[in-house]
Amino acid sequence: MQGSASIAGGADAAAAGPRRRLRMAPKLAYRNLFHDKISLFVTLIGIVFSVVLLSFQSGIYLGIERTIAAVLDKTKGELWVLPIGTKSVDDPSLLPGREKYTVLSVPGVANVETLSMGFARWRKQNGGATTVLVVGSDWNSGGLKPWNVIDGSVDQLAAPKMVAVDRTYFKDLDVKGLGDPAEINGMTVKVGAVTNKIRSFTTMPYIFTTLGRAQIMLGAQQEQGSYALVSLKPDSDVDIVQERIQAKLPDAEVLKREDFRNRSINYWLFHTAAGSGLIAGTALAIIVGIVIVAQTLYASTKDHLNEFATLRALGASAGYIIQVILLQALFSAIVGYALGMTLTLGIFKLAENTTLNVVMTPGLAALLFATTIGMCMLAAISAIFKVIRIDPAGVFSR
Amino acid sequence: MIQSKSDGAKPSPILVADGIVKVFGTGAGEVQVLKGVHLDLLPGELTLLMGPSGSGKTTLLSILGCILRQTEGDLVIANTKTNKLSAEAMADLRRNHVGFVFQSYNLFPTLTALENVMLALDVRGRMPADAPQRAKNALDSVGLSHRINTYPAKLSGGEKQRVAIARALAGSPSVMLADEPTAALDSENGQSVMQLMSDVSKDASRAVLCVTHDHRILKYADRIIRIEDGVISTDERPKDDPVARANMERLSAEGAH
Ligand SMILES: Nc1ncnc2c1ncn2[C@@H]1O[C@H](COP(=O)(O)OP(=O)(O)O)[C@@H](O)[C@H]1O
Ligand SMILES: [Mg+2]
Repeated sequence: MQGSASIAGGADAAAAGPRRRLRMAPKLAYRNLFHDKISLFVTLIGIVFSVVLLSFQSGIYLGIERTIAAVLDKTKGELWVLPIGTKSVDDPSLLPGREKYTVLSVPGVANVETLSMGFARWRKQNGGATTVLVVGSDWNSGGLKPWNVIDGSVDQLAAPKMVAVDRTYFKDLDVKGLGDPAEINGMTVKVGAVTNKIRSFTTMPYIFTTLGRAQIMLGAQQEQGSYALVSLKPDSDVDIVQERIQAKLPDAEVLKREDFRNRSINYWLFHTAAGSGLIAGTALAIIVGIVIVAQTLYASTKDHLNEFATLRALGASAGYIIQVILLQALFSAIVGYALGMTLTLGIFKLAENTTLNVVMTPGLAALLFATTIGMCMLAAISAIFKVIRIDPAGVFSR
Repeated sequence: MIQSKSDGAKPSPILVADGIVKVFGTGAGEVQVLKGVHLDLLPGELTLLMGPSGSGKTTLLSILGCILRQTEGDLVIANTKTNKLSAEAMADLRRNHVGFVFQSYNLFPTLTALENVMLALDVRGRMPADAPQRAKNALDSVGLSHRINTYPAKLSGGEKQRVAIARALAGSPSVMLADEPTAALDSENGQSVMQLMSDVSKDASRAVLCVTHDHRILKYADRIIRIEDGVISTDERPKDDPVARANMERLSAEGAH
């Protein structure tokens, strides 16, 4: 480091072997950490709390993102025509009508499907009602067709009155399976297909049916839908076609599928109560984690201050001492994360068959791990400030 | 360069302190603890530093060990003048040249005896593959080869101090500084620790300075320095000087009571 070391006496130069700095520092950090069980326990509680809370927030976010993506990506529409002012895919209103034929006349367009979406009242068979999101399209020509069908079939939906419901919402809808009746906006329906885990990102279940039936339920005209889904001819340029359609439909908005997906996700995240709750929850989780870890790490550092002063007297560099503190933070992060993630995965497993749509992926797990480590490193700052101000002269004054 | 006038036999000092002044506090609360201390330490000698409580022994030791800065005066250790060194450079100097032994041992309670010694090697940036062996050898040389895996809490005071000496030795320091290393020990352990300090000082590349109140251990001294009210009052080598020797033996005998 500094020049003075080079003026070392002969014995020193000869004794200096290969430098392998990181051998005792981790041991000391590890021992100090596990020495005080209560403080370790508090630290771990803090980290586990943060990890679980963060996992939930981000797991919900990912669930939402996937649901939105699922709805959009199940369609063939590269371009979406939407009513002006549409904020999100599940904020449907109605287009003026007849967009399908206008768009079909645009060069480069291969096919157009009308998708009808809207909120409706689901009257349960044994009384009571709930709001649902009706989705109607002509899936024979590439519209939004229900997926993950586990009972009945999509073809059965062509028969009169038939709708598809998701098993996750059986209780909410008061049905038990195929053939169970209900009423949507006064129209009698029957369960003709059951899907699995098509969870909406609002509290309202999706109900799939044909375009015609949905239009009647939602009070739309025959050629009127919420969205027009445009698929393009193989060699056409999506930007050019988008411009052409937009020019022909001044009273609607034309978006690429991924743009509409991002708009929907952003709307949910930044403009709904659920989204704000999620952001606040994430911030809270991180703050709580940092505060608890900072507190316990600082306390532990104070407990071991004499040792750090001794280390300094023995000639440890400031870097070496900071290393010990950071390693303590790192070990806490690793242990806390392992516990927190185990707990999270357990809870997510339990949530699998509920309407709570939480998703964990290896990528998210890695991101959370990095966040946990970052949190603990940040928490180490106050402890580091404490140790680097240690006066080694303190070693004698006891 | 520090070179004594060549009378042949006398080795050159490892540490030279010249006109050391230490002032604590400022303004009305200002206290001058050291008032111009001149001192050099020769290799191969055990020097005892004695003096009444509050006379500035610990302060002087801290300055000589580069853990406290003097207000005035020069300090040279192993040919390095310390006055203008940064805190990190001072740490380097301690790491490379100074070994400490404390009254309260200052061992790391969460590490075993062996690990305590290895930590000092690691801090010194000397973790060669044979570090465990070196640490074992150091513990062996203080007679603790049977206690290497014991934690400090399970060691007696004398054993702890011997681990601390092994820790200081493992880095082969050119200056070893001890502040009342036997104060917390019973007579028997105190004697054995002092014997050890004396053996350690016989290395021709090392000087040992030991602060003590303990008259029982005067017989180990090659040199005795007395400090009173911040200045050195006497500095003698009893083994060369019949009067001083008689004096020391009298004190030693008194201390035994
Ligand atoms: N950090 C400090 N601040 C102020 N005064 C100090 C400090 N350290 C020591 N002193 C004072 O310096 C004097 C000498 O202390 P010290 O060197 O510990 O003496 P000794 O070790 O000989 O008993 C005492 O009066 C003590 O109160
Ligand atoms: Mg003292």
